[in-house]
Amino acid sequence: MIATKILREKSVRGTASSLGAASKPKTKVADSIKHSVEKNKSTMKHWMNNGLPCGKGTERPGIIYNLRKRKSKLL
Amino acid sequence: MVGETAATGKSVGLGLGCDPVVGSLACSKKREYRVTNRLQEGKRPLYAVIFNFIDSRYFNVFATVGGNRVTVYQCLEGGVIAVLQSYVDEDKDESFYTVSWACNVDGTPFVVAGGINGVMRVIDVGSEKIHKSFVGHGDSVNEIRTQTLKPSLVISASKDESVRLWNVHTGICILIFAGAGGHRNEVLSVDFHPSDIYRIASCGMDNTVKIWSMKEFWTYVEKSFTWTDLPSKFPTKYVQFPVYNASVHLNYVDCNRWLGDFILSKSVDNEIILWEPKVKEQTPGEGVVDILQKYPVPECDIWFIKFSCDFHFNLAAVGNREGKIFVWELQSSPPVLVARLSHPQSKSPIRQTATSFDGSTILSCCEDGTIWRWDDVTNSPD
Repeated sequence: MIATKILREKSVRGTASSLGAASKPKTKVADSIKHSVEKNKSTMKHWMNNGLPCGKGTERPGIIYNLRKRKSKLL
Repeated sequence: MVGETAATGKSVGLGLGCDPVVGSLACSKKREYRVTNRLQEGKRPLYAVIFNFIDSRYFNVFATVGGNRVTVYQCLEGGVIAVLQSYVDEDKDESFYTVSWACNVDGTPFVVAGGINGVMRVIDVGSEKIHKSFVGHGDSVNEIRTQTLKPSLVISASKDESVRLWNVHTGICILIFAGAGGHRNEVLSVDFHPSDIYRIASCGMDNTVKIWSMKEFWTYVEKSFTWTDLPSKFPTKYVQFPVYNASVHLNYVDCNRWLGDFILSKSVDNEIILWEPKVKEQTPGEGVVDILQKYPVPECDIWFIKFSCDFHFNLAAVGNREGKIFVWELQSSPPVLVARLSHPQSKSPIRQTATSFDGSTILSCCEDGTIWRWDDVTNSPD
């Protein structure tokens, strides 16, 4: 019984009967996915920014390496 | 031939727990995307497209490969796509299959491309020159990925059944993942773990997904950055045994990506699968597969179609053989189909998509040589 309980608790997708009516499998899976992503994100440091960019609207520095400084011969 | 329908593979054993949650193809229309541009780059198939997630200054810059050409573009306001640079390999028979952004130790942006010749070209897009060419793979290079935590390190998956770790700064092949426990057919995809710098996942035509650890060999990785002798004299090491091996799919596995500690992988069964690898304590190296959920992709039964995620792994975009794109919300359960993108003129197989940093733009590269740009107009005034 103890082993069974532990096994069920380790699963991210238990059934309603095993986890109780208040805990649904879909919520469990979604929470587990979010937790896994967030856990890794919190330990992931982008090499240049020393942290994750804030997303859209992030204040960006001027481009140092101007990709258009010289026109390619092929263009 | 790339794109042929794959043969039937062996059976898959499901792991613990309940049946996986399957996403509904009823579109929620949470996001509305519109075609804002369509480019005909050439007549040869385009196999890969990728935004630069390595350097935040270039998040709107992307690269494509097709034939013997590597092209760098920039997404501008109003759907404009500006051509910045284009490189043509000296071998007209070259056909690039994959491309990745990387950078030198000083931050110089690089584009790394590989394909049918098995030679990887490292292009310094700052100076517009070839930085190095990596010779080592015995056959086609099917995918190149960059370690975002240390972006001078790239990894390549090859038809020669091996995965190789390279240092683009010094040109050294550091590690070769192959051998007794390695893949038994073409390796089609490989990915770095988002936070565990030692961990990679690979998959291929042997229908398996393998997880490898380079922790034991990390001293060689560090040594590669300070190596001043010829690259050919570096003591490249073989990693023969993965830490995990499992058959998740019944057929070729042509794309795998980490989602946290879970794995997204795709075969030719019209779906992407999200699953958790669990190691068997009694049998090290062998694993149990706990399939969490499935994201259906109709008419996606040809191989070498790769999906993409935005930087934050909120969305995944995948094309199919009829030119349609399915955009899934990754972290919802059940999975939510955010958008289904189609256009009357888009009928060619979509080999790869590229999702922008925040998911506001989705690019697709197609078998007919076109690039399509879709922009999120959900909150735009009409």
